[in-house]
Amino acid sequence: MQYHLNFNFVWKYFDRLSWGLVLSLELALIGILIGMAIGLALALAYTGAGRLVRTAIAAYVEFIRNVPLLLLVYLVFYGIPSVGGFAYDATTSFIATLAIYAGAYLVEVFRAGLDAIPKGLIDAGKAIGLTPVQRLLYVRLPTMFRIVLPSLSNAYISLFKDTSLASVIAVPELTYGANWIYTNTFRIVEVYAVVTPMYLITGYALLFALQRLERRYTIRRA
Amino acid sequence: MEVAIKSLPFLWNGLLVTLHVSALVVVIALVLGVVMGVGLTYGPRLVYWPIRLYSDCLRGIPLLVLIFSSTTHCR
Repeated sequence: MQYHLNFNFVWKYFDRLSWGLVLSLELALIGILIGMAIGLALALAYTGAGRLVRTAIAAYVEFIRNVPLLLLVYLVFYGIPSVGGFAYDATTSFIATLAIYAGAYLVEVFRAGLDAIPKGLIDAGKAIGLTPVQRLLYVRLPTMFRIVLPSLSNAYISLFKDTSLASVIAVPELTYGANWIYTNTFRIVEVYAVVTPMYLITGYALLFALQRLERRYTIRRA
Repeated sequence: MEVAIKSLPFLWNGLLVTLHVSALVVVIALVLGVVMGVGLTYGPRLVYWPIRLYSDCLRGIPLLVLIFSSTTHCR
């Protein structure tokens, strides 16, 4: 072994990593927010609608869940512009991909949550004369969110890690920053020795924050 | 479309590689997973903590980062 560790280049270009991490978090946040909107809308449609809508939603979920995310990233970034005849930047394309992907996973989470609401709660809502919209806003949604919180935090952390796939279409997030430093300085061991803990620590910080939320809001059964 | 049909044999080979790799991974991971799962549940602390550390660390790192770092470290 004649290899000597030299971290100088990593610190010299550290702003690529720190801003990369910020962009990773932003991608995850926007993707998750849009994905949650998709997931919630489709989960509600699924529980309330007829067979045709249900089949369509199930087809969407099955399609996305059985295709690797990397393939979706390529398909949206290279495929849609070449068929549709317009172009968009890589960041927008990745956010759209992540949102579509997150949507498919979150539909399942929300649907399970909606199914798990005790029937008695909804009946109680009917008994005190709440309209269907009021029942949704004051009974079903709050209960559902408290039931699905643990599955949601799992999904959020997975999705944060999945933002590393944005590097393959040159979105300058954390993994892309790492590869940039590597290709320019050949300091691969050092770069990944720094980037790996960055992902780990951020992931754990997220996990702790979400677990605090969980402890505060989970429903304890007497 | 013609390109897609012409590249079918190539893609077919790719699919075989994918299946081959997944089969290998599933077998190795199953063995490792069972052994470490037993270690986590029944092992003493000396066994528990290394497995916990391994599992939590690897689960917290994106697969892509693991691939990039491992391929080049091994050169």
